[in-house]
Amino acid sequence: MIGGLFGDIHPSIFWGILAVILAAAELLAPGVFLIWVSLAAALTAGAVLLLPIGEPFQWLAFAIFSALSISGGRLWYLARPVEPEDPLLNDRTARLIGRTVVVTQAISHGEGRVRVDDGSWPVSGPDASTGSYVRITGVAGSILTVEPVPETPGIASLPPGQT
Amino acid sequence: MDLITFTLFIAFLVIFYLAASVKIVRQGHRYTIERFGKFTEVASPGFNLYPAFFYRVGRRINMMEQVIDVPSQEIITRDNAMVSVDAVVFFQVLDAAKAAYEVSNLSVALLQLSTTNLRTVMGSMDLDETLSKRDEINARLLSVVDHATNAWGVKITRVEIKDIRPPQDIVNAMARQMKAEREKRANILEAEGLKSSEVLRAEGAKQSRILEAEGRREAAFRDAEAREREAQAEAKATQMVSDAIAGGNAQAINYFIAQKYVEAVEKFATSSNAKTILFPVEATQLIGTLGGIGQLAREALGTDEPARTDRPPAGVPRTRTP
Repeated sequence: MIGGLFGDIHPSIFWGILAVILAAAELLAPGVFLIWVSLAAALTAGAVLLLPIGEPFQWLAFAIFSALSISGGRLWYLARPVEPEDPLLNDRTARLIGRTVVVTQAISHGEGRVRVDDGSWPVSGPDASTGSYVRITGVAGSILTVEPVPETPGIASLPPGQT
Repeated sequence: MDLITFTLFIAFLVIFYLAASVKIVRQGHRYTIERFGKFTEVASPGFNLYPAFFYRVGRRINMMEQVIDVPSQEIITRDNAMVSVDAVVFFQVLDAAKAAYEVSNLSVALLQLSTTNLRTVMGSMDLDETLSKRDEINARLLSVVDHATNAWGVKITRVEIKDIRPPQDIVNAMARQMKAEREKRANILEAEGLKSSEVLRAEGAKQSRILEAEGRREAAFRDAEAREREAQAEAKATQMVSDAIAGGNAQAINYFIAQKYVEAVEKFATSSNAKTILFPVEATQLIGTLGGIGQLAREALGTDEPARTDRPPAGVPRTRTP
């Protein structure tokens, strides 16, 4: 051994220990970052075990493996996107599309208000009188676009996909 | 050794660079990403990799619904009452980029906007209205603030008045007013009750008087009838007596009367009261009576039997035979 940082233990053992320490650190402080570095350390340990790499180049290899593991991680993440149970979480306006609501302030010149749950929202759309029912078709900022409902339902219907 | 130090630093630099490039966005937030200070896109929740030096995170925007507490403040209503009001504003960011860059301090801006509009809305109402029409206040505030915040990519979902506290003297006046109102109602009810009971009582009295009068009338009728019947009976009896007398002899009547007289005197004698009785006994009359009895006997039997000693009392009319 060349000595220096590693003392008299085998480099692959050092890298293995580093990998374990980094993985533990990831568990202690979750940030979904150190786990990739830990993976890079494990890869370095494997490389050092198989190939006689000098100590300076072990660090370079570690750096390269880190970059590769993170890029690989990103590619893997893009290839398998997280399927949330509720894709409309924190997207309030998207939830409203398809709902039938009642007009509280008559729509004239494309401006009016409707009641949604216990609040009221500004809308744009064709003229409609107060008390008539309209369906939300889209959103522009915080202004909902609506279309008149031909039949008058008894209650506001749920958006599609919710029963 | 120098080479080792150099590569070590290179490795650390790479690690740091990667650490700065990986952007993990937690659920419920959006990060605005700037490229050389210019906004490019919004990072969604999950694993994002934006190379450091070129990209940096601008603002971390909370996309959850949030609550701003509007602190208590003094508001003068239209009828010049000073009330202290506090409210809460619920809002949610719909457009992270607008919320980040269109307004410089979103929560302060929203707070000031709701405070001033709360003043405007409540200042245009009377105290009673402010106390009873919270829903209307909420709706009006919402529609005003909503329009203003549209440009900031924010939706005000709810504006709620938490508490309206009029000054203490007005609260006391209200309590007095309420008490007076209730007293008035109680008095009215009491008076109505009294009136009803009096009416009922008078009705009862009237009914009883009517019934009583009817009873009296009925009784009078019956009494009259009874008297008529009695008179008829009397008349009949008299008729019969007179018929008997006409058919028989007057002396027989005299005999009966005399007998009664004597019986009455007998009762006097046997009564437990003082035995001293004074009554004018007309001896001559008595003797006359005896004579009459004798005559009677003779007439009846046609024999000369000894006469009885029954003496009719005085005052008995004697029938004299011619």
